[in-house]
Amino acid sequence: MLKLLLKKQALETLAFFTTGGRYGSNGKKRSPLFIVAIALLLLYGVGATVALMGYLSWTLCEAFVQSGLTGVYFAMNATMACALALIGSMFSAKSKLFEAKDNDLLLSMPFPTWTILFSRMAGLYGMAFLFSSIAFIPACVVYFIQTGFALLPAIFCILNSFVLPLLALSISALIGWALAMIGNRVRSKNLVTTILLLAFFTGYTLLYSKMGEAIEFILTHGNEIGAAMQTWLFPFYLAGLACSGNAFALLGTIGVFGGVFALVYWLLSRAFLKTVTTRRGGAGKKYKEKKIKRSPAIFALVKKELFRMKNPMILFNTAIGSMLFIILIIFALFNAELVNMINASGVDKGEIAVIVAVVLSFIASSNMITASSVSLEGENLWILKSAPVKTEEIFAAKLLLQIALTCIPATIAIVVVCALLQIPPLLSLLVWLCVSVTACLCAVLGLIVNLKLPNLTWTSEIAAVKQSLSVVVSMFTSWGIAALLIAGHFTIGTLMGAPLYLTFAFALYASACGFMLVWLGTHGVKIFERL
Amino acid sequence: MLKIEHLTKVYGEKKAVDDISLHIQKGEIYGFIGHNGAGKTTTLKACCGLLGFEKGEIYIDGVSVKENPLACKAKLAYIPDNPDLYAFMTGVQYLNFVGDVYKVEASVRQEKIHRHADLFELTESLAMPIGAYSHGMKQKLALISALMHEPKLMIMDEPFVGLDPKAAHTVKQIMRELCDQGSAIFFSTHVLEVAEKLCDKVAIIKDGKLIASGTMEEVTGDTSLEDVFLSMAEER
Repeated sequence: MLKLLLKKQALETLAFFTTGGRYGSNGKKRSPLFIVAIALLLLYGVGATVALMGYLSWTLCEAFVQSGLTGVYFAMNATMACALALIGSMFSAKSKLFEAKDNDLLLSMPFPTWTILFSRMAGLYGMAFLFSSIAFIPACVVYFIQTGFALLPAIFCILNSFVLPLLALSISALIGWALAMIGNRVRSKNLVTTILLLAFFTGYTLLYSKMGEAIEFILTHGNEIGAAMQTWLFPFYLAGLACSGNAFALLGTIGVFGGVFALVYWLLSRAFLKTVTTRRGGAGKKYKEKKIKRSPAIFALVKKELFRMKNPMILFNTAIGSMLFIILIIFALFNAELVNMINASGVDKGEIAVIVAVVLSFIASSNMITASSVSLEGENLWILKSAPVKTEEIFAAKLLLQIALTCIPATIAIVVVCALLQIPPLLSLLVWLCVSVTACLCAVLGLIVNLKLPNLTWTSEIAAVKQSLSVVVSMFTSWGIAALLIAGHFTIGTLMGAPLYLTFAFALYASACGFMLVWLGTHGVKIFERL
Repeated sequence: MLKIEHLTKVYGEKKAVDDISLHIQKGEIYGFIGHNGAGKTTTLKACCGLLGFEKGEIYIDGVSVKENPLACKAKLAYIPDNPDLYAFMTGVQYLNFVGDVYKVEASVRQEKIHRHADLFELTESLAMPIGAYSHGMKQKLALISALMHEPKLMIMDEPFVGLDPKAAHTVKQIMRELCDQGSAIFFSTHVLEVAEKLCDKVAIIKDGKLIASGTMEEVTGDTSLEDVFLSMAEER
């Protein structure tokens, strides 16, 4: 039974890589060339992230190993790996574990409920493993490069990399279950969930923003941190010791992390049936007739896209950039010390304007609303296809939503940041143009990628917004677009000067956006109509 | 109202619909019957512009679906066999969405929603998210939304599946009323008794080919539609 469910889960996860779903690409298998191109893009994305994490570990490793604190070095990285895995799995836990569309189907079959939960947790574990590996594996590789290869610690590191995500998985599953229970009991469940997740995310981001200071502190207070970890973060301390070759510590790590997972799994498997079968909150609300107002079709289409964002899981997974803009505004307003430091540094305002444009463009490129907007139509696609609206209008609605949700908070952030950093009005305007055009370019790119890589046969929305190839490809390419701004600055930007460089970047991205819009209006329309 | 001429739709090497021609006049209820996989849904989807086709032509009220799909879509309403509606919207939000897309005046919309939601006993549930609706409730909501813009042609795929007997009776009444007002209905069904009682004309499709069509009397003669269907299904 369990094997069957695990196979089904694996098929669902891997299906997007081989076919475009029932409608996509007429169900044809993707060409080997296409798979190679996608694999290369993924390799670039993962490679860039791993290189960044490796660079971070390099500095830490040298200092810790020289001080004889190898265990603390691994413990620190294990903590970071778990934190990353938590962020990677938390926003999808509720949807993936409890809200899958095949709940009724599977529950009607002779599968014990624990097997259904286990197979779904296995899918979530995969996601947690992927995120934790991004931090943990480079740390291990860096360690063996710096100290020389040793077989036993290497085996223990590999074992630990499988054990560590269990804790993040357990916490995510508990959060998912708590949110599902809130959803079953509260009428405004979406609002409550959004507020809770936003509060958690704000806290997490603010903590993360202190990372620079934290690294400095870690490098100078290694012994104190080791003692503190031993007391407060004992499981990670154990994991750290295990990685340095201590077999008892490895057994202890497996026992603690495995034990926590077993306990959470036992609790959730008991509550699973009730959680997935309880009627949702808000179902009892009665309709009261109100005066109806007519809107143009395009407004109705935009409103429809906006309604979808009421689901916090979709909001947090596709519009994370908008949240980051809000957090940035709060951070900038309440960090006078940093603002004063930058203003007193004497750095050229043009240079600061370019950095602000790059940072805000990165944030803008994190919004992935259009990259899953076609996939999310799923079985509802017939509604749009049978409606008397032009495909271009459907595209416009999807683009407008991402552009509005990105550009509105971005504009406020630019006004606040440029005012605080005393950037002259002309440069501020150029920053705004640059960030806005990046937002538009990423929105158009996401839609194109999703048209080429749709997944219309998902059983859980999270598969479309988080685990789809379209989102991964869009994410790496969008980040590439933002990264190009900084690369361009260091190559031609310094020669051109900030105003000219920002104008050039704006013109370049606007032209690319124009070309892509023309493609959408011709080829894109045909692809959509074939779906 | 609906003119299908030599329609052919191919999936890979398989002809799902093979050279079908049908004419449906104003005021007619036209039933479309056939075994599973015979090509009913493919034909209906092609009529709505949901599926492209290789050969033939489809005209709705004289307008070609190939040449001017938007004008055709504005004249028709389609109800699929399994109406997957936007689960994240409430019933009334969905109706307003459809109303805006079909440019239905606010006052007309208000009156239609009020009348049909009451008729299908769905008024109280209109504030509920569609995700919490049963299959039958979704079917009713899809029907209410379809009726809102007074379509000249209604295309329905298995419209009675999931409806309770009272709702099914209401649907039959509405279908007749709509046709009496000059619209036409083309629908597929497996319920042969309903087709026999409700339809002015009927067409039988088998393996993508039309094997019989015409008025009920022309197709059935002295026997029942069930007998005709079963014997035709065995014969060819």
